[in-house]
Amino acid sequence: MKYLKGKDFYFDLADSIISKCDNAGCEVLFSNSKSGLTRIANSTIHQNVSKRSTDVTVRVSRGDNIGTASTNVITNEGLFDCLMNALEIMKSSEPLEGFPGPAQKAEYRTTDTYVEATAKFGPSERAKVVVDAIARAKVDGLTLAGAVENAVGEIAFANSNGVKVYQPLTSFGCNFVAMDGEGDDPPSGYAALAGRDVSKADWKATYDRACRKAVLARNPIEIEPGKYDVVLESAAFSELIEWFNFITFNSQSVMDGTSPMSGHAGDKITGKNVTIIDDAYGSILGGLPFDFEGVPRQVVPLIEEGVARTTVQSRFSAAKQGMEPTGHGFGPGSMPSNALPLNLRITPGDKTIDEMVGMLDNGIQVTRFHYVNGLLDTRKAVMTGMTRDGAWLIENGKIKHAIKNLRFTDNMLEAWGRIDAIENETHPVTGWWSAVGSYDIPGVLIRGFTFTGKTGKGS
Amino acid sequence: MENLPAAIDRLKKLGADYADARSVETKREDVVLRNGKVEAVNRSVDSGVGIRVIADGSWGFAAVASGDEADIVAAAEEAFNIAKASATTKRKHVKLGEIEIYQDTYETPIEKDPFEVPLRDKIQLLTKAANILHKSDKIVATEASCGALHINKRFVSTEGADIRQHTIETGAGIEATAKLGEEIQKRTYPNSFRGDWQTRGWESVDEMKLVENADRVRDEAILLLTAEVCPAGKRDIIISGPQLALQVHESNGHPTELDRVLGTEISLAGGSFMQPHLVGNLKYGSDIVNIYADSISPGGLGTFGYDDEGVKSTRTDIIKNGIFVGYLSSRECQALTGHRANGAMRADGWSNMPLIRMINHSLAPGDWELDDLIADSDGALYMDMNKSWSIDDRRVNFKFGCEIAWEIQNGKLAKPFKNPAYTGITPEFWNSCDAICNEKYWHIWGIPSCGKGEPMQSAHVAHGTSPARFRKVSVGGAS
Repeated sequence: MKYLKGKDFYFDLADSIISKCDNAGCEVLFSNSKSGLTRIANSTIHQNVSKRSTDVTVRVSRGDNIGTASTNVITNEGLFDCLMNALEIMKSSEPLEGFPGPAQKAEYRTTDTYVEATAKFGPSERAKVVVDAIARAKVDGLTLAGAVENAVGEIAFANSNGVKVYQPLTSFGCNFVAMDGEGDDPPSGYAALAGRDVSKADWKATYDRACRKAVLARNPIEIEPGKYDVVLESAAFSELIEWFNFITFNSQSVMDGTSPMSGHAGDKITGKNVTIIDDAYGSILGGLPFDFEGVPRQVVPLIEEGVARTTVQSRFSAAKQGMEPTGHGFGPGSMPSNALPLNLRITPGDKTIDEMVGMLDNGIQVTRFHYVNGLLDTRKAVMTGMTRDGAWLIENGKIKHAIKNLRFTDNMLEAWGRIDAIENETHPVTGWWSAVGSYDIPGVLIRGFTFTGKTGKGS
Repeated sequence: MENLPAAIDRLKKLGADYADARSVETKREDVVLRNGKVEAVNRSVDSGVGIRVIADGSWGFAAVASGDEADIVAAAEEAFNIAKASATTKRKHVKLGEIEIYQDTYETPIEKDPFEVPLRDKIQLLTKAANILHKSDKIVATEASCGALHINKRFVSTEGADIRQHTIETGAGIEATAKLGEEIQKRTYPNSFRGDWQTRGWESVDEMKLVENADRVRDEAILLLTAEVCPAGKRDIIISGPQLALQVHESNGHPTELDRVLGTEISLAGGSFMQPHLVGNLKYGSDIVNIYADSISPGGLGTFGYDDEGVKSTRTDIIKNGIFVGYLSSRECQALTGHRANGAMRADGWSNMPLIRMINHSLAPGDWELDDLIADSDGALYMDMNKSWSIDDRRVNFKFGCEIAWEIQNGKLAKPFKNPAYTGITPEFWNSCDAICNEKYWHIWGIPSCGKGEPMQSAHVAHGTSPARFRKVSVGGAS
């Protein structure tokens, strides 16, 4: 545990800060991490980095008046300055009506998010993975790019109501893009992996998959945009889910009315086979059992069998709407009304990717998307993006040809009403909050997915 | 800051081929009002040291959140060992292009220190703007925000560089969301996604006239609720300054980052169609299109004295009279390709390794008056303010959504359309540019959130633009 400082270290510091906060309500959030990342391009390591930092954020409140400050200067002087800044803001700012103050003590479930082997993984071990991956790519005459990373960290939270919670975390991940040839747009294949226990990582299967896809992507043909039945592998579907999460389940978006869920609780908004739950306990990687306000994280059904249920809440967003917090607040340092699911789980179906491909008479299999954007019309979840790193034309259930990249633009609520099959397993995908959050995403078969342009000649 | 040379001394003793150490201390304040109420006032302090080493011909980098000599030396040793590990896949020695070595200081020129402006004054300004935004029951959400950064940096290297820089950034913006039944529309000012930012003092916020623009922002959000969806087809379009800033960013800034061109971003951000053999040969745009990169334009978020490998700020032509002529480069890329390092190596804080990033990447002004251009464009659409962005991994096929499109009728902005989007192919699009407004309409827009790299880094970049016209562009409604 030499990478970790341990809960007593943080709780002692928190006690010291809380004792000086002039009887104001006080919340103290610590985040400590050490991370390393080895990045490959052109089959060589071009970036190999390590960083470590401890951050503390203090939020003080007296009634509706609040003040927040943060620092990474973890000295007596640095912490005192941070507290004084927060107190000064509290005194000179305007009140935030309905701010509920610090959380009360509660019971917490446990999650297992720390593995010593991952904490010990270092640049030499990452380099070994990279050397082997490059050698594998060379067998097929491919060039390799990607990254191998791992991190160890800890989150600690304490407040003036006696809440004290702590969680150590480890994570690892890799992604590989294997490319066939030079030029500005060579055929390529992609595969990625994420987890908490590096000793269980099947690196070989991952880079092997990227290489096999690159070989399959050779000699792509151009096809015309239009409506196609598609099999989206989990990496592709996760890009859509990540945006959908951001625009749909964010408590602020729901309150502002910009979410597709706004005003539609209880309504059917997607196909019946779509169930999305936020579950820190049942997700493959496991998440934090508390949020950054010290509230126990609840399992929240967001969409059940296509019906919009509820969204997640911070303490403030819940208070504003007369609801109960669900343990999804971002705590001191973030907007009090923001809450977001961090551990989405999509209920799997009963088909393999190959079985779903076999269901396509004339369709497209997509490995992943690039630069998806979900802000075109958030009420309808209209999104656009490009395919990349492997897409294939499927005819009569078989791969007919690799194809050049296409742009899609479609209404996801409608598209997810046309999901005809879902993969029988989910894959952990790390999102924008990779250390504490992950999504469990299956592949899907969607009928009539709309492609609107193509590389080089798109519209 | 004072202990940085200890890292360099240690790395010299260890036998590093090259090393630099960079300390960064950042002070930040953000004020956000939602629906007219102060929802967050945050102040943060962040400091640390990043050390970059070439050993055995390979890179290593380590960063630590400490100014203590022992911690800095330990990080230096870690960076050295990481470089040794990197060397296991080395295909050739990393070499750095020759540059002039400086011992110097730089400071952002400001008139009014944003950290000296009382919090109450900031809240009062934002509240006044928000209250105007809320003067209609159709407005269901508003946001008004401002912020400031103060960054102290020191850079030292085994080559003898010793550079200290003090930069200040200030920004602000407002937005209004209107609702009618199922319809939701938003307008923002002066730019979307938390406004406009500059390397200036509070005077830049004073000049924005947030309060004076709040009525228009509110009314246009409401107007869009009953507007028709932008019809699909090929149309001439005039793109406003802030939207054109993002167009330059995505379709010229990123594809001319030379590290990306050489493949180092291929697994995440992608590559570039602007390959080295096209320099001097690619007709990227029409003859009136001139794009340049600099770190000297007053107020630009890419304006500073030296980049994060000690290269002095300069100006580089990227597109000259429509021809692709230059890249954003680094010392390593200089050694590999001959394209001189031009002050574009930048790191996000102390904890990240510098990458080639945009600085101020600007479209030079043309000679049109905006009124004349609109009068000359009957039937065209005036597209304003970015709402969404997407471009392929070679930066060729793009699609942008805007907040509003105005149809030009009888020489005036006449009919608003909601959810407008336009799409195109980068060189076709820029070759269709036939008019650019003059310097009177040119403004350097700050984008404080440009993502690149693994681990993801966020850069503060800028784009000088004035409205410009593009012929026969594919447009339509986003939904």
